[in-house]
Amino acid sequence: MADEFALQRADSPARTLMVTGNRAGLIERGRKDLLNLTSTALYDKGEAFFSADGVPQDYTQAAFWFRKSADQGNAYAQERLGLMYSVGWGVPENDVESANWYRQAAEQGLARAQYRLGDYYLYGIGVPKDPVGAIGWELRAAEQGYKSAQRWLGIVYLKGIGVPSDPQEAYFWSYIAYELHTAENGSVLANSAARKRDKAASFLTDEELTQTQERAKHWLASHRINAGD
Amino acid sequence: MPTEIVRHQTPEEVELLRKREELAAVRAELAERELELADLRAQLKSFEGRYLREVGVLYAELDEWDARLAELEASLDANPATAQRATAARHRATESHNATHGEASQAKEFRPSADLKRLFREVAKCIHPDFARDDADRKRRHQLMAQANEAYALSDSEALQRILDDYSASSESVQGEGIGAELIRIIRQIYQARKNITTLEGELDRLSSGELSQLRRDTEAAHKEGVDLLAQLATKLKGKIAQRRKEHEALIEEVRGHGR
Repeated sequence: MADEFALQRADSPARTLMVTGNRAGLIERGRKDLLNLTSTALYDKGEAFFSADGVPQDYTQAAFWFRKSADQGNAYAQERLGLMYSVGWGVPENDVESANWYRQAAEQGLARAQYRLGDYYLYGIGVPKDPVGAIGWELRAAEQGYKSAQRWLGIVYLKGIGVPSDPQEAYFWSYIAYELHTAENGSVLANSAARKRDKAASFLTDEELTQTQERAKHWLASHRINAGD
Repeated sequence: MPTEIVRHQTPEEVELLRKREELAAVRAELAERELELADLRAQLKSFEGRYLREVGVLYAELDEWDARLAELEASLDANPATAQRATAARHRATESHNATHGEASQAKEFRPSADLKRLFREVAKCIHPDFARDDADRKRRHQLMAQANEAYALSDSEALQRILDDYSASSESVQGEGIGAELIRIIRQIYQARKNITTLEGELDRLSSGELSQLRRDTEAAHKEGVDLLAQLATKLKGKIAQRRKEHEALIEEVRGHGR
């Protein structure tokens, strides 16, 4: 298998590159991947108790396994813990704890956690109120194609919640959310996005409208989206 | 009444005896540390060999497919960024290949017998460079110590015995050294050895907190619970390799389709 490659390598231009073996790099990768493997296995255990998959639903057990996995850096488990602390499932309700876990997952790039954390910052739940910071997190989620964050931006920019109202941005994100929802037959949410989009459009000049539409179309063309609701 | 002539020991003699004992103790401790270090090195080397054979080769294969994919993509568009990515991917693939096909991947399992350990301790006590009398002696001892470490890692007790025999045959205690001179020499040797014990302990710490040691600890802890971590990792990697292979085939199909 590997020697089959060696033959080919002999003719490749890379042969002239003086390269030595990187054993330390291989070991580091193995450690990281293993940590991922074990934390995923722990997350799966928690998820089984969380969604009663093959076992009776048990939030205390779910929280226990999510916690183990989250401590190893698993973003999905961290997001789950954020949720459980926010509603008090299997753990005492605690907004600060909730925000902490959402943040850890959000910093690792998990869109759902970014969306929730943004909401926390807008209203000051478990964190100091910070509307500008809130927009930053929602944008990161929206850029990943997370439609809830896109609809969220649609409302916040339309009504000027915590930030100055900006119908152009409201239109931009509602437009994208509508298109993505429609592509997935999500009619209720698509309708909700469409209402905000049309409301925002009523504040725009024709020129602004065309320009924003172009921008949104360009966004849709340049993003291959698969990031949930 | 017969008078016995009792020669009282001078204070220097008393001190010399005490220092000789101290030196013997320090020598034993130093030998013990050398053994621990030689053990850890050999264990790590053997574990690394196993890791490279069971897992490393799969990373190398994965990197090879990554490189092929990147090179194929680079051949399809004129974007300099794509070309750069291909060069980097190829570089990484070569590095991984070399890492998994070098000497390190040949390391065998290391299970030292009690006899081998005892022999190594003896050698370390005898030939340790810290107990050299002069520079020439020190140099020679350094060489022997390196040989001893190598022999130990290879579980070669014959070589260890040879080192021990050769050394004892060639050097014995210094004649007519005198109490004062011997006292000074021993005090210096004790000092030097203590310093070296600290250095060895530092090296032990460094080695046992490295990535390789941690990986080995995790693997062994899982093994006790009946879990083969390296096998799990290998399965995961094989899945990824299969995926890359498919991507590569699909891309080639696409290129052929366009070519028609």
